[in-house]
Amino acid sequence: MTVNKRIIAGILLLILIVGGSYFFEQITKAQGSRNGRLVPVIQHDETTAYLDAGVIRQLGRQEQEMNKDAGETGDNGDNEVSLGFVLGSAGVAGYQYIEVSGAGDSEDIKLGPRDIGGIVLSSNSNSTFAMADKAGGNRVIIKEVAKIYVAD
Amino acid sequence: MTNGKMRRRSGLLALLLFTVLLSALPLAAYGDNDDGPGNDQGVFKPLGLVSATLDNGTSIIKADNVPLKPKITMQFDKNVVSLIYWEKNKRCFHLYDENGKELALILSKINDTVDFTKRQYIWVEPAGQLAPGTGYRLYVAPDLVAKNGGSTLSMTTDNQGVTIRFKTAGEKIRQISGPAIAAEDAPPDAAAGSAGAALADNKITGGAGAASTTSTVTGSTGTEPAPDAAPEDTPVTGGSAAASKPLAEADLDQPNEAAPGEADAAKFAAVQRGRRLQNIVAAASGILLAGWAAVEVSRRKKKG
Amino acid sequence: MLDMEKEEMSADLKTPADSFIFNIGLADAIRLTMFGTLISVSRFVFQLPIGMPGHTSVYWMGLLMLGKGLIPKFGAGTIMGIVSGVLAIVFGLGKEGPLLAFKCIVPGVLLDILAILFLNKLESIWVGVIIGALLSWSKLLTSIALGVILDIPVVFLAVGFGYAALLHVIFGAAGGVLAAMLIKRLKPRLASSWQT
Repeated sequence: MTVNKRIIAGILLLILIVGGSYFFEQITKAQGSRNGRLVPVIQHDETTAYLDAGVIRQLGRQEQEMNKDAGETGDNGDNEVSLGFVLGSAGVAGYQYIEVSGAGDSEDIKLGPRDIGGIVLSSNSNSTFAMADKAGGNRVIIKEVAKIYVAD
Repeated sequence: MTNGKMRRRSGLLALLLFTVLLSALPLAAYGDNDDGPGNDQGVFKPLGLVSATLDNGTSIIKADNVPLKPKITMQFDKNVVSLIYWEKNKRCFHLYDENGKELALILSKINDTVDFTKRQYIWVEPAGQLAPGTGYRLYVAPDLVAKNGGSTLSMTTDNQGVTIRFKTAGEKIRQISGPAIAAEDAPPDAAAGSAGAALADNKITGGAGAASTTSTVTGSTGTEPAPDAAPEDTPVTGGSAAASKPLAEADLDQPNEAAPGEADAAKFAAVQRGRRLQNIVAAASGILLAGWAAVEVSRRKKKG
Repeated sequence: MLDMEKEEMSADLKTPADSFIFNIGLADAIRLTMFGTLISVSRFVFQLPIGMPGHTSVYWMGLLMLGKGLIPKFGAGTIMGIVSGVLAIVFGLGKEGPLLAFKCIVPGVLLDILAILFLNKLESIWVGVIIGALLSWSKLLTSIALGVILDIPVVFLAVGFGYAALLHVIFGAAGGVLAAMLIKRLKPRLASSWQT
């Protein structure tokens, strides 16, 4: 093969790479949203943020750090973060209620700003995360969170 | 002849050894324990503010005639909207009026997990309407951190953070102590408006003809700019007249009144040491490069 | 007498070739080390506040290709990659720790392979575009792989991947073009004095 042919093949490969990268991104988003590994936070009918188990773990660490800096003792365990902190981190503020859907046939849960106080999100081992009521004896409300809808 | 060959070979080896040592020493020094941010957290590029503009694209820095409800677009040179640090970052933004009273802000962002291209932008908007003809100070604390967790605003601002001063459009509304003068100088509804609320704690004494921006204010319960206030702190309220300052002085004569906030001074010092070493490394590399070029040139000359 | 010594010295520079890895001579090994050092130093010194992913590829891949173009031997890219990787660890550039070396080594190894595929014609602008872009993209892929190893949330790795890939390809191609131009100009001048 001559150099010119190799150059043409190389350029085609580059186009394929860039296109494939965008395609991979879209596929990951779509598949992740379906299987609960990528949870969209929806406000005004638009996705404002994506969450996953890794984000929940990191936010948990961040919340603990900030509580420590503020001299507060947070009672959240490892891999746990309060729902309020997650919403704040996603840039959600001034909402009327939030509606959390679970993967599969689980019920949707509606929570007002006053209800989220004791609610925590904790990461599962299968790269999903659950929602639990800390105030209610750590009762798991949703086993695998699939979507968080924010209503103004 | 053999001796000459050996001499040259040893000379060449010595030169190579020297250049290798020259390159290795500053690098080793840099990487050594606490001398720089180079170990535990890595060397991070500094985070800086690129621009702060209004909706129409004009810069708000030292601007006059700023609308009373401005939406300020702040562009940084790194990702500052990451979910992980947003709660921390949004506490770094403060808006103070001329009296140092902190005003509520509405911050907005577009998450990088949704639109990667807007990750350097934060939109800042006062929660309420600003007072006309009044100077304001938008302060961004040096703790502002980029997504990498290591680049902070302190690196480009000498641990001072960013202070942006601007003045709103319109004529300043003054609250006057005497009701008769108030009726003369300002419409009653305006005097009772937002500007009045902002200055409610201050007694203003001054000639009727004094220019509003240069009016000297002495307040019995004046508020001071909160120099050492933590991001969430409310402005300090002065208990005596001595504690309060004239408007002009409070606004203009304290370039550094916006103090580092929560930034860790020790960490900053370490970063500074790291940057000094970085300069040494750069200089050493420059010398090395020049030496290399010189050796190549001399070899070429000898050969040719 | 002097001429003879000169000849001997010139011969000396050629003889140690067998004793180094990839059959690269002492002088070339040192030059490659210098290029490797330059790559690390450039990443450190040219901290441009562009804020675009992959902009370092302009000089990173540019220098990598320049080194390979001027010393067109198999293994040259790998050596530069290893040197720059080791120095990057010493510098502490980035959060990946020792794994960071892979980000430098992978493009170096790939460069050696791609140079063979493109018949070592690194002075060609189009070859520069393709190799630079591919090297830059390989660096991005390595970063993603390291992110997975280091347990960085998938959402941060996946979202924006297309945009990051596009910019890496563009900046890498730009570095490749610059390198090709420099190789074209420097190679004939250095050919007489550099043992290649």
